[in-house]
Amino acid sequence: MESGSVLEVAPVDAAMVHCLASASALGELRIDDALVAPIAPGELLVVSAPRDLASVLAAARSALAGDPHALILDLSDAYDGFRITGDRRAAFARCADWPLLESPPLQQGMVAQLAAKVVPLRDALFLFVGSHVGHHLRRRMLAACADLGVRELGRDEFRFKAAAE
Amino acid sequence: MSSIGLTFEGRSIEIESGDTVASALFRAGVRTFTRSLKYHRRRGLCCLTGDCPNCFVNVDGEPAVRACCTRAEAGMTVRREGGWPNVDRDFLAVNDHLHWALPVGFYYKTFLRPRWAWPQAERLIRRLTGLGTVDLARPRVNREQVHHHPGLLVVGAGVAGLAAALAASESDERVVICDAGTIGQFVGSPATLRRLRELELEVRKNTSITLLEQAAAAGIYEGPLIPASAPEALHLIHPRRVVVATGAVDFHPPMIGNDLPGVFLARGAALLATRHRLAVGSNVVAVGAGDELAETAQSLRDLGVTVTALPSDAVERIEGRSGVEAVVGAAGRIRCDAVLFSLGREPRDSLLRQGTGLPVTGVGEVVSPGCSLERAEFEARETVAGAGVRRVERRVESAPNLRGCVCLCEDVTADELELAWREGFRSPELLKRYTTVTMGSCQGLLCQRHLLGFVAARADGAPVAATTSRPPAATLTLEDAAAGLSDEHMMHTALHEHHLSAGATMEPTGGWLRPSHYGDVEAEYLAVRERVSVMDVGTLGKFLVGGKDALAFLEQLYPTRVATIRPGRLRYGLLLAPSGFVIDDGTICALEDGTFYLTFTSVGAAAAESILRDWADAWGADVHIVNLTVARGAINVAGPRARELLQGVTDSESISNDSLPYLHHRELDIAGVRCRVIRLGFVGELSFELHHRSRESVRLWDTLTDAGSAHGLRPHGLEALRLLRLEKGHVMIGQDTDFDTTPAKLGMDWAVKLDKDRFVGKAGLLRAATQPMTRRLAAIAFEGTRAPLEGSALTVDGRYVGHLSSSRYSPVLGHGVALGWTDRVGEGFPNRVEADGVAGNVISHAFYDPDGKRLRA
Repeated sequence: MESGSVLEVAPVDAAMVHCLASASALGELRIDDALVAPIAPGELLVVSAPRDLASVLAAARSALAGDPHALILDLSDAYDGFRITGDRRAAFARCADWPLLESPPLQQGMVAQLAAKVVPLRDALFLFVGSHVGHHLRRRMLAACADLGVRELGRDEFRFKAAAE
Repeated sequence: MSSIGLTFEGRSIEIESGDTVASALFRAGVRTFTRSLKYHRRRGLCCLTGDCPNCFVNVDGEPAVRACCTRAEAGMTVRREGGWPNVDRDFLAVNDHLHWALPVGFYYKTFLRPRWAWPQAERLIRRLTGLGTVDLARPRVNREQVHHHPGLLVVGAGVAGLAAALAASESDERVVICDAGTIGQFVGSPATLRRLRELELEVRKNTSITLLEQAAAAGIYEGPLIPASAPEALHLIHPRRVVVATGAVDFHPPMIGNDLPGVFLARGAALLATRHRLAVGSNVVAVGAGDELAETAQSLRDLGVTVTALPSDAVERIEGRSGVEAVVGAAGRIRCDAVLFSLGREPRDSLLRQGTGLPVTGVGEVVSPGCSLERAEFEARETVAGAGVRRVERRVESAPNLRGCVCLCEDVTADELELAWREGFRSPELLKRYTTVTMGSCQGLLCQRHLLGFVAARADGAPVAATTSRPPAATLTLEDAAAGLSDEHMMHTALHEHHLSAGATMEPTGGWLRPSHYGDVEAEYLAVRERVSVMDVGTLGKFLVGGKDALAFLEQLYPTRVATIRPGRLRYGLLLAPSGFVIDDGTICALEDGTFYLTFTSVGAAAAESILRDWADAWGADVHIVNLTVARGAINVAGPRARELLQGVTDSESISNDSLPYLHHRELDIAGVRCRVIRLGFVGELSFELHHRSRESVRLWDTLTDAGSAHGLRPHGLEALRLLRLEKGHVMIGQDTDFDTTPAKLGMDWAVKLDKDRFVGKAGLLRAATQPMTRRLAAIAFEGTRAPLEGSALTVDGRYVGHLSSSRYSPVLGHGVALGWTDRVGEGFPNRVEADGVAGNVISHAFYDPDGKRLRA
């Protein structure tokens, strides 16, 4: 299905909200049009389109209101995101020492020797790394996938609903 | 047919289509390719398959390149290494007559007295041995790592390997094949080559199979993980299972003269004859048996060569000076100019042996040496389908009468093994370590058999096991090992491109690339002291700590009191190890919502995070620790006109000294950017650290520098910072501290509240307090207009008492200022010292603005 299609890499903007609270409070968190995924004990990451940031923050505050010590932090600035389309599994395999899984929807591991958050959706793969090393991921991906005919596209936005199953 | 050429030691040599460097040189008449490691005996082509060390040459400046594995290309520059002054006329060949002076392990036995002899001898030995010289002026190559995750990895693209790959792909398994060469590169048999080409066609059109040619598998690690070194990248392959199909090589015969140029392994001779139309000699003796040898002999006869066939045991020694001249054995002395051996096959099984306990299996000659093509192919398909694990234990054959060179790579002779045995090294592993047999570039492929046979003949029936096989199984360069580790991995702040545009010279520090200076360090320094300046301090470690136990957690962590820090205030905090030694430092800001905003040094942030999380886990603290280092940028606005500058871009009253005094912080909009403004004074002037969302850094920086131009603003880098903080006597963790530095040694007892119930490091500090302090960090004001060199020894009356950890000349003070470690001298510490020819006095206060009036302004 994906083999043979043009491999394309594009930087993407995304809203990245970290929610730290008790496990019971986090269990109540449901946000439409956003990917909500656990990344550590007592910590969820909400990934959404940048334009949905305000509604995500509001929804999170509302859902976690029962925990007086909950922290809801917009850490979008901490991440550089990339969308990979086309033969994305081959591209990922070139850069990672672990196999890309079908689930969960957010996976964490080293990609191009950088700590990364990986979101495999049906028609695209999203990679998020620290914004202080985003330049490195871009360069490494383009170098490792040069023989796959990788193309670089302009900046875009992360869209969850459109890309989801 | 000949068309293009390479340059060989100053002369042009024509090359033909399909030539390797070895075949091109051989056609041009080159017979001696290198000299042996120790005795400098001549070495010529032998295996032609990359298995022996006899054809190492220098290609385009790269040493130890196997000529037989390297495709000849136009414009290549090739030269031989290993002889002095050259390989053809090598004065060091005298070593071959000095075996008595160079016994095995001679470096353990000689040059022991006088003591100065060994360093001299070591230097000489290092110059005279080795596989060539690395050209340090060659441009650095940043090679990449490329990962693969197939179901099956096949190592070796021979008939068995390709058959195994095709069989696996039939069940939709994704397959990677890697081979040290190209398909068929090392095959001389026409029948084998024909079958290979048929299989190659199928493999190349199979989309489930990825073929990595010229990718030598270097080892099998847990996982399994197999690194394969290729010219374009280091491939890291993570398969679910591995099939090793690396084949076998002809035995190397253990007899006198076995390393002379003109001694060939039969498959190598076949390769030269059938692929390059080159005869290994004009009068050749072929020793051994079997169809393959007969086929090779016929190929040579087709080239007009006289071939004398002898059975396996018919030759006892080989004679010659610079090359083979005759063989001597049961049939008497037979004159010849080359001899080729086909005495049996040695499996290339080092990878297979490394894969013990892992899903690794062997197919083809590596488990059935000398098997037919049909059998290799059939067994490969069966093995892959059955997913069984096939390994064959080495059969050890007693070899009581070894002669000649046992290990071609390390130049170890049978006599040397005998001597080592007599000295008590009586197992394969001991002999390996003492004589270095099996430790060369072939990793025992050609000599392991002889070593085991030698021991078996003397072991009185005790079991003899092969030496342990360890990576690397193939020759690796440091460039291979460093693949994917280019310095581009340095971290950048959001202002990185801005700094470059401003002409900054960047320097790596703590994993970050930061501006060292913008072209004029003194002007940057003076901007801070006299006007106003900005510095990108976004690299500082920045953490938010919240949660039910946040206060209790920090109180237990820090040696200072945290509970008394009111919201809007901040306090200096040391991070201590349980021993009481200083790990890092920073600030603790209490926020209005009960959380705490912590800063650490740029270099120490990662370690600080680990320590915070470790203690939180150890204590079971209900806290949230959030690393904001990247999410938050920080710009320090410093200088006597700093407030004036900020008043132009924010509400002027909000940053007055009343609204925001020293050691306070608050949230403010600065030029439309929401900032936490922190009043600190690391540089010793009125300073405001503006912590903000990092994506706003560029806008904030631009606004500040635009508005600051009216105030004479000039950004400063690390070089200016180092002097500015030194004038204040501020310690830089790492630069001025050591692994066993306590706060007391730094004169920072004020930062430790020993009357607190508990904190990390308290017990250690109490223990340290029972001992007299033997050294401490001192502030030293030097006389005259020259600062001693950093690192200089400190002396008192010519006696060493310590060293300088930081030293600079202070333009505003007009003398040198320094921090240095001084030892106790008698009852106390010295008050007057000398360093680098400059005298100085130890002082007990900051050099600059000792009352701190300027930073509190």
